[in-house]
Amino acid sequence: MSIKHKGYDRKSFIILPIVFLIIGFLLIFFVVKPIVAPFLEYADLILLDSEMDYDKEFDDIFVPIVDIEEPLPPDDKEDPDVNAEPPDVNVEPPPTQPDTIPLSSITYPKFGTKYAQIRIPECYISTYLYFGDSTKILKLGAGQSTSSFIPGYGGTILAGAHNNTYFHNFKYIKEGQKIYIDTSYGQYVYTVTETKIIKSSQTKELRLDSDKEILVLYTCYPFDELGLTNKRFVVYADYTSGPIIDHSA
Amino acid sequence: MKKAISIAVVVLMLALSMVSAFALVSPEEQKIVDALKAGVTVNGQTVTLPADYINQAENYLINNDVDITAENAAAIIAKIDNAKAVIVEKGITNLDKNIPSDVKDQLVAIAEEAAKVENLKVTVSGDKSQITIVDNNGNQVFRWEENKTLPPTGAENVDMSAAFAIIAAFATVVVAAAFVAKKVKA
Repeated sequence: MSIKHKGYDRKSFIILPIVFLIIGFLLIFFVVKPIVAPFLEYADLILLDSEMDYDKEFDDIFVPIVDIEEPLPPDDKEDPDVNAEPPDVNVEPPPTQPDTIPLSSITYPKFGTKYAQIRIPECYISTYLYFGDSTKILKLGAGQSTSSFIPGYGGTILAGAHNNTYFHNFKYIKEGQKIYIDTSYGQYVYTVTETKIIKSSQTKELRLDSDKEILVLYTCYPFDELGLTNKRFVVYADYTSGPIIDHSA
Repeated sequence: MKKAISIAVVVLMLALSMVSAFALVSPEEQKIVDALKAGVTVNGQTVTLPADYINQAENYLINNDVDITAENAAAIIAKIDNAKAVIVEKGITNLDKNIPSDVKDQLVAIAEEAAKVENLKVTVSGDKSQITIVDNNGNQVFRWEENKTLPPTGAENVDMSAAFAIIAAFATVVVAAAFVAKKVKA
């Protein structure tokens, strides 16, 4: 085989296919994906319609202290009517709720424990909260970073959920809205103060060293992005009410 | 009467020993948290452990099943001091990233000694970018990650997207191969 023929073979069978692959993928990503994306969602509904039973792997210590509706499955998510009155919610703390509770009276969640429910009524968001943020947990609900603390402890509570399921309606969140976290030891309310778009690497924006209790929720951005994105939509909320945990008792 | 007193003493001792089984950070455990929070001075700069990792440690210590004795707490604090000495000696000013491999090895060795005190297990990823500590039940109690980012929360449908991307890639290669074959034939 001549040298010229060898060079032709290398170009034909190695370089050209790779170039075609890259150009083809770029074309598909920028041109075809927006057209095909809705069909992919429908395909998922059909092909992945069996319930995932990761739930059996995780402990469940959540018993709400007040009657609240269970979260709807993510496929039944609603888009809120932004012009309508907010839905009727439990806006006052339950009357039996103490101002403080001893830390020793609380069953502290471990990694993978379902221990609370997050509700943002004005955005029709309601999902269970797990301690831990593994891939499996994020398929079941909101996952709390173990680098953050439980409601009432006095530190930052950091949790995330998928933008096309549990936190899909984050696009409707506004300053001043209330976020409820119901736990087995109390109902906590937080008031949204700020929203921000950050890169996933900007971990200092998560305010894990806050000296007061704040709630930080995040999801991927843009909200309708399929696939991986390095942007996160972050919601900051200040503690408003709920029993303060006494660390010394 | 003596029997009643001894029973009462046993019950009292049991009650006292059970107090620490509930969620609480004992004074000994608080010393560990304080040791983690205290920074070191490296080349005139104060270096502290990021809040991320201090909080993870505190969450582990709060846990109902964790009850560290004074002796074990002292042993763990001694290891924390060893780690700080390495950080100062090697001039490490950032504990999130760009830690030299040999320094990581030293710190991991110290972490393993500290973890053994409480029967915890340390695992390190192949590229040394993740260090995980788990308890006897395999529950994660601590995780350090180099260049840490927030978990992905927008890839719920990536299974189908990935399948589509692979199919599209194959189709592209087939088209490219057909093109080349046609050229060769010509």
